[in-house]
Amino acid sequence: MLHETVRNVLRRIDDVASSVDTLGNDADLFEAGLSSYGTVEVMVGLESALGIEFPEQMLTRDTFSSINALVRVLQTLRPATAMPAAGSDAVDANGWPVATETAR
Amino acid sequence: MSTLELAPRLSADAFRQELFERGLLLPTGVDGLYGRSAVFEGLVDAVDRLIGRLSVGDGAEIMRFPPIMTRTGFEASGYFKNMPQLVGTVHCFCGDDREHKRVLSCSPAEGGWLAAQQPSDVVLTPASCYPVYPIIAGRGRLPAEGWLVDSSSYCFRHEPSVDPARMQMFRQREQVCFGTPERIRAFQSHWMTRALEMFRQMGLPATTDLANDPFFGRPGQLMANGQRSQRLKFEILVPISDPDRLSACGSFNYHVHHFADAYGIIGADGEAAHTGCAGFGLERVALALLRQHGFSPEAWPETVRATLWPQS
Repeated sequence: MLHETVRNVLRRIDDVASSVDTLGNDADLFEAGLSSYGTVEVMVGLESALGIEFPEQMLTRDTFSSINALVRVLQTLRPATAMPAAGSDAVDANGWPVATETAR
Repeated sequence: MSTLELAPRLSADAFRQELFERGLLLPTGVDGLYGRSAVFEGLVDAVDRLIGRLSVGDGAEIMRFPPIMTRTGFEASGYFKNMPQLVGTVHCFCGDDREHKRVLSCSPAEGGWLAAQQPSDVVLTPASCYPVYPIIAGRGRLPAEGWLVDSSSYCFRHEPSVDPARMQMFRQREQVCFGTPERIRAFQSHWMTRALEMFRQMGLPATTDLANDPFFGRPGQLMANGQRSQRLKFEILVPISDPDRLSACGSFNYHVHHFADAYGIIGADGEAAHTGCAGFGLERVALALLRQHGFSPEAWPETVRATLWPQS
């Protein structure tokens, strides 16, 4: 699931690592402590995990405001353009590559 | 925008050439690096003193810095993560006689005399508020009412340009506020109002607007959008080199708890403090005055002269 891929990336971000597992999918990530630079790390982490690139118009605070918000944006990106993360060809039910940690 | 009549159009290149020909700025051969004449320095000094007169009642602690800061303090700030393109580092020769002889004989392809330069424990200061944060953090918890610092320093940003308003080294006069979110927002708002009045008194057609820092690359766009959506940065803008593209002469910033987290600045309540700064680029204000009122300050309107030199 994309939700789990997003959570896996968030678990590697210091700002929210300790609280990810208690956050709901609609919880405000900025209120949970996600900083501006942490947002950049989420962007880079998801792009690396999914082999995608966020279009310029989606590089907004709203996109990164919650797990569900991120999943909604990721769902609008064409999976066909996604490349599996290096060393992993696992995909989820939607055909999305799964982050390495999930594939293990 | 003020109803003041704007100065006639002049390209950035033509404006700079005029400043050179009149001896106000002295060319060095490197874009953005200039000597300053007595008249230009007198203007910078007058603007600096004006800011001092406006803020003398604020009770800020004065801090003045050389144009370099500690590398550890710089690294903690996160500046290189966000704006690597602007950074200037200080490298030094730390070798012995033998190494000295070796690098003197190095070809340009081998790195020339730079071949053995090592990074030192200082870097060029990117903004005059940066050296302030580690000092305040080192003092322990803030007083209940917070703290206010009046800082100034030469600053470096690697962005060579023919636009004389975009210097590589320039002076900033920056007030830095520490405290609660409410205090920082009030400080930001107060300085925006104060700056508009200050520029009005100088006869400059100024306006304020939402802004963002020049963050680097695609991640930078995300940072910039986040900064704008949270209304963290405002600038005071004046036409200088290009009437169609206003130049920022000052900025009013709310950092939330970015610097408190970076340096360990703790509020009276034991939580990370919030910080903000309000700074002016002194050379830019001087250039805006020269652009708007002409190249001879002695011929400027009396009201403007009285604002800048109240004793004259």
